[in-house]
Amino acid sequence: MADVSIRSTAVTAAPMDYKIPGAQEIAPKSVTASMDGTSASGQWFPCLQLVDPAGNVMFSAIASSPLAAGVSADVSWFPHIAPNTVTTSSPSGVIVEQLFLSSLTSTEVFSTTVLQSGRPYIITVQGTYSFFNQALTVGSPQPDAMFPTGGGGRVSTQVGNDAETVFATVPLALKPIGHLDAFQIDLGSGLAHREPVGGPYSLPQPNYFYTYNVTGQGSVAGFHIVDSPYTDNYGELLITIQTVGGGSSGGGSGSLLPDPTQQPNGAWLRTSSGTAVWEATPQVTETDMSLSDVTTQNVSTTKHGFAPKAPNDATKFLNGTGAYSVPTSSGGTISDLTSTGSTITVSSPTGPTTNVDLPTTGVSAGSYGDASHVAEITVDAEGRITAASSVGIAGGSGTIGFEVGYDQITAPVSISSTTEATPTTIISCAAHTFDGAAVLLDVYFAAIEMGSAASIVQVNLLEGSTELGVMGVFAVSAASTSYFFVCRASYRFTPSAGSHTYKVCAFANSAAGTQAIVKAGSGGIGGYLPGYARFTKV
Amino acid sequence: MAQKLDVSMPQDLDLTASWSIRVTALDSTGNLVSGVNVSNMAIVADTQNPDTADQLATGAWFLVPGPNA
Repeated sequence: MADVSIRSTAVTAAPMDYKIPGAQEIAPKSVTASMDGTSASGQWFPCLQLVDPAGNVMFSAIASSPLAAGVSADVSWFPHIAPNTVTTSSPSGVIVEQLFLSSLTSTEVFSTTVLQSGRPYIITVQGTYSFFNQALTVGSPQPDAMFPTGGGGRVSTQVGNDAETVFATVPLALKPIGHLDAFQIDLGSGLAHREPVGGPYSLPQPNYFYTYNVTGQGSVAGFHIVDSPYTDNYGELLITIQTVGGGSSGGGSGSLLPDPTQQPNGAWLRTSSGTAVWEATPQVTETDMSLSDVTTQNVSTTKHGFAPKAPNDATKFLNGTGAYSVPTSSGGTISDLTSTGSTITVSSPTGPTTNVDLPTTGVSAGSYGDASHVAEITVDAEGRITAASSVGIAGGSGTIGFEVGYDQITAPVSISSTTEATPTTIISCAAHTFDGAAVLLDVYFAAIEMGSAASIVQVNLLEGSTELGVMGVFAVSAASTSYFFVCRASYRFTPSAGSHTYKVCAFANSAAGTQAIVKAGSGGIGGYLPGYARFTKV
Repeated sequence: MAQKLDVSMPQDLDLTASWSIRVTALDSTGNLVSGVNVSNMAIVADTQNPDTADQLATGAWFLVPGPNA
């Protein structure tokens, strides 16, 4: 078997594939690649995969620990080796910012995050660096920095410092092997060296990783490495600022968010007493929104949105274009208003006329008052009639002498009847309304002329077909048309309250020849006056 | 300067045509992480077929005979 090196000259975004061509058959012994994570979108794991001809991934040889975004690595895959891992023991919490502090930087490097005053934070620092551009012959140096820095002219890439210790150096160095306080933190009150959790340390801790518990002072955090000169330094420290609390099993690459797997869709992450928590039913409060002078998200004819800021003008109203304006005074159409209780209803008007339904007041619809009655009404504060009735006019129907009814004839009536049961009607009175009080009936005829054969004429009063009695009898000893009598008869009686229709009738003992006749006319010279029946109150 | 990282891989692989060796960058859930570039990819292998040189003269890949070739 011959060893070959199969190499690529390409630089491509991951993944990079080598597809075995043609009839080639190989037994891979190792794979190497340079992986540039400068622009990585998040934490990442270098990974070697074997892909079968169908595109299925048959295995993934993956680093046991992730690399932070921005970190690059030259990765080698070999059988039979233990992984050289870059592990951290990150505390729980939510990462708010990561930054690098180069050992070449002589000035303080600040976070962009403002650490809120009084709130606890965790700052972790990882990495190795060197104070010297030369081989470190004292102690146990590392061959290269965990996070190398650029620049040429290096005599050696060996490093012997981490954030808290010197583990390798040069002979007669000012900072000997042991504890190192060159790394400083400034929370707002000035740079100072702080001891990490479990410190101070004189030996490097696993993975060169240290944790600092701090309390925010309402300022950004500053970091600095004390040294002079800086130009011969090499390597940088990865600094992570995170909140206290929360799990380490959140979704996403390397996320330290609290575990979202038990939360319903739509849950929001919110801080509560300095701890990041999931809020299953998020409540948006006014303080969550900044709506001062919002204009770009206002409602318009093309989108939903916020109401425009009020114009401080009581005459203006928000119109259909999303602007405030003064309504025009040319009127408008009101339609389909609904009535409930005492409110007004406008029922689907089709024109300028509206139908307004007023609520009922309990008054029966009808006409009230007549010739002898007036309408008595009650009016409420809104001007509505809430009660109505007819009452007799005082000094009218109740007064003695009030004429209840008057009926007359202006033409003569021949008395053709000779039977009391079916007399001839002389005056057929109209229906008159009586109030139950006594009345006086006056009956007048200018003359009753006896007939050529009739010698007796009897005048009766009837109601309907019922005779109430005889009002008068006229008789002569021998029948002759030469006999005339004036008839003036009166009858006082008390009709029951209500409407009554009376008749004045007459009959004679004979209707032969010239019949007896009741004379009546319109008056005038030689003319008979009208005959009448008149009812008056007594 | 990139850090050095060694990772274990399976042994005794014998791969034929159309199989692929892939170098990639994944997140903790196995999804591709964008923004990572790969260069200088190299495979050291035993060739099982002495006539493979012609088969490698494609694209950006080339074969360098090893000391035992």
